[in-house]
Amino acid sequence: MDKIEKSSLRTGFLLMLACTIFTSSGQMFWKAGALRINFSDPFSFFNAPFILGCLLYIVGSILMILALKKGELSMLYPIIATSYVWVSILAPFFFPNESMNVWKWAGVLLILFSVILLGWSSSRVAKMQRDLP
Amino acid sequence: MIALFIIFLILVGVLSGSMAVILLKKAASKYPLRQLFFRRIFWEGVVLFGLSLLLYVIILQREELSVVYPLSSISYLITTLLSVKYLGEKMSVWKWVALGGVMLGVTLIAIGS
Repeated sequence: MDKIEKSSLRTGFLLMLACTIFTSSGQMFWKAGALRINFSDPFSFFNAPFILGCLLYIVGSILMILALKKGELSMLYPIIATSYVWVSILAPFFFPNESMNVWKWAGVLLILFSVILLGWSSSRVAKMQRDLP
Repeated sequence: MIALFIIFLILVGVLSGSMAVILLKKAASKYPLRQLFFRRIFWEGVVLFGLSLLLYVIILQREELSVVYPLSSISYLITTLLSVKYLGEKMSVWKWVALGGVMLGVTLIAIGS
């Protein structure tokens, strides 16, 4: 398979993963900051977690656009599900009330495994297309 | 159990979210980054994406995550089908298996929530 193509797919994959890390952590900060917001007080919008959350989300969105340039949607879009993985890891630090359980762990592991499988099988499909006469 | 109206909202949200990403993919593939802001197809994608996010927030105010997650995991399936049809992408057995695994994983997390 063309080396350029394979690294392009891999770049897209990693960019999308990075995107989900940014948007997940952005959501966490955003939610933490949203608790402080009081609609009758405009200044309450200017709290650090909320703004940081928005910034992280924006960076994540840019990363997604960059990822879309590099890879196929059928590979990239399901990677969004890894957000659940990051949130499961990060949430206990932000919201100590929520806990992990067997179902969540099973789901997290299945998603991780499936996303890796998706990346691998996508590069195989691309290779097969390339090798067609 | 879950209002028909909510199901309708979820379907609209899922469809607009999937179409949004299709449009964004088309825009991103065709134009360089700095040009995107001037392209109509990019903004069509952004607007649809915003719509799906808005619907998501509205739905979550009414229903629990354990219900919303599995239904929105359908978006992975719909986006994949749309990308085969409109973007000419190819699937394989393993890609379908992986997709199914992702959808099942999301459902498991929903059960645990």
